[in-house]
Amino acid sequence: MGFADDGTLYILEGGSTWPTRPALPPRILSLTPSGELDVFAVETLGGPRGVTYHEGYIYVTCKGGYLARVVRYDVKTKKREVLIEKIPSGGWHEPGGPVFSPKDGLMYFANGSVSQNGVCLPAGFTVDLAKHPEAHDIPGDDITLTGHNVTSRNPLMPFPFLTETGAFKPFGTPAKKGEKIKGELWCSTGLWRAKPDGSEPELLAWGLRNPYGLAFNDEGELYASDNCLEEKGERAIAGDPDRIWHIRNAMTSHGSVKKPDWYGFPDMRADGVPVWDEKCKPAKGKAAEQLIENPPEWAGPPVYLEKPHSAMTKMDFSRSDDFGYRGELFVTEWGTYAPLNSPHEKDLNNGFQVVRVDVKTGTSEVFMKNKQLGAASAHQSGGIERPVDCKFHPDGRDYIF
Amino acid sequence: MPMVIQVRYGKLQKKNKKGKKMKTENPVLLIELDDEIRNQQLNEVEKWFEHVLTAQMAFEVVIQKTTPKIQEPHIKEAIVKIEGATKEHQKIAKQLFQLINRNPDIVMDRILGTTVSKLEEGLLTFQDFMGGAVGSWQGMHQLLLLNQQAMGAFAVAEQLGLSLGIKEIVKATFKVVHEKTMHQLLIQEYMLEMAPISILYKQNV
Repeated sequence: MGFADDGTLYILEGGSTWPTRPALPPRILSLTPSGELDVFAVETLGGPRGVTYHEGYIYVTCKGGYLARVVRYDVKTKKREVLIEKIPSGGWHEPGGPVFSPKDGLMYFANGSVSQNGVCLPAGFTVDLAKHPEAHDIPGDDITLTGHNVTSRNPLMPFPFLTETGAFKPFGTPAKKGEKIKGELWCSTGLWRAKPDGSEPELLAWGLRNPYGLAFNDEGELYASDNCLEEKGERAIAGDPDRIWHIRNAMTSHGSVKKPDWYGFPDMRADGVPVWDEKCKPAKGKAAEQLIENPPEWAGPPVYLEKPHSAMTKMDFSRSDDFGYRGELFVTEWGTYAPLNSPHEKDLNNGFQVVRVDVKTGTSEVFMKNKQLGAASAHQSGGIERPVDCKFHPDGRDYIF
Repeated sequence: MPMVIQVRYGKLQKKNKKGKKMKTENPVLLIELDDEIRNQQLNEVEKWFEHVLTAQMAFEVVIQKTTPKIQEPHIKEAIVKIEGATKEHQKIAKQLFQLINRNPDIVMDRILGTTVSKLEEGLLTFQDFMGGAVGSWQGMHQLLLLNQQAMGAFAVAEQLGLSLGIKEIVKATFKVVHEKTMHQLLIQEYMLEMAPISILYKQNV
């Protein structure tokens, strides 16, 4: 969702997530302050994930086929322009943002990883293997691989063939020890900024697994929500917290970032523990090995850690003394997939709430949750289901989610 | 154009300028859930459910004709089991109508009549392409296609259940799609076992 200055609310709906069904028309709706609802535009493939208004345009990030994209629409004429369509996609995670910095007026946007846990595997990929057999993660900086590959079945074969897959490789392609992979501007797990017309893109960060929610505070500091690695499959990692990162490069001047910050994917838990450590040993699935031989300096720790699998999604800062909690970050938590992504009973109800986070102290309080934890439909109790977005009205007084 | 209806009032706690909490009322909006649009969508879904039932009954008609012709005991046992499951699948196909408050009985005769006539027309044409084959495995080849079609029809019904938010449809159809997926693998495997014996040695397996 995104508000225009006049209070018109743009709502994204439909498309498909994962599995890629049910597929519904990927629409951008507009709801005027007087209550008129209309279909503003219809996108394609995967559909829109984030929308924001800036100086007469709405800017929308969209999940794609092999490529995610950033488009903008002239609010008056509805003319559509594709600003960027080079972001590696075709896999698991989503575009984040776009948001505009109150400090420099530039557009900031992100995109998550193609693989679920660092290697393209059937456990986290299934239908996408047939749809996007060449999809794979791309680093944002030059790296050398350890050559650790992951053995799995190949669900695309008529018999149970085993296959080996390496990091930053398509499914079924092994890596070699010492193999060098060149970092690219248009990497997966990246966060960029560009001019509002999409020109002069600059990579600020990579190694962000699923940077779905982006938000600036009044001081121009950028924060990103990010979801944890999964405890399942052939590269299973236990105990990775969900988190909110401070994107420190957002405070630098445009064009000055020589080397993007690395936030840990696919080899580091958000609490700074390497994923091959004993603490990450999974109760279910095969334990992870190191994938990057020469890991960059870690840009952590995060400003806030949340329970694993809470699935923090979109977020917004309160800017109103009238509403209260000024300067606190409101974060929606979509909720866990457990027992699909965690074998632990304690994870079954993580998320399914809205929290307000003090990014200065790393503390939080629940703003809204059901009386009985978990999704309302699971308990037939009424209440919230899977909150995915929250926004403050431009006048700051009203809050919607 | 989507419809918006204001269905009830929720309560939101806010603070006044003195920091005291006060309750205000805010409208809750629901999009595209009014009766008119919902009924239009259910009418379309009912048409698809008729197709689900037709595809299921087509499969049943052919498996009933094929099973007695199969001689190899293990393959026959497997196909008889699949045939047994079809009764439950037809029951679920009929239940789908009830889940959207419609009645399948009024369309049953028409569906059965259409199914039989179209099947005879289609399968006769299909047999013209089966060069060099003899015996009951031709029925298996037809079952492969018909099971695929029925499986796809149930799978689409599952998506409609997800799209409409009727989880009873999802629950019922997911089970059928899963079983038919296993049946598809079985039918294909046994068909592949029978095919070379039939084609190369002209044996009726």
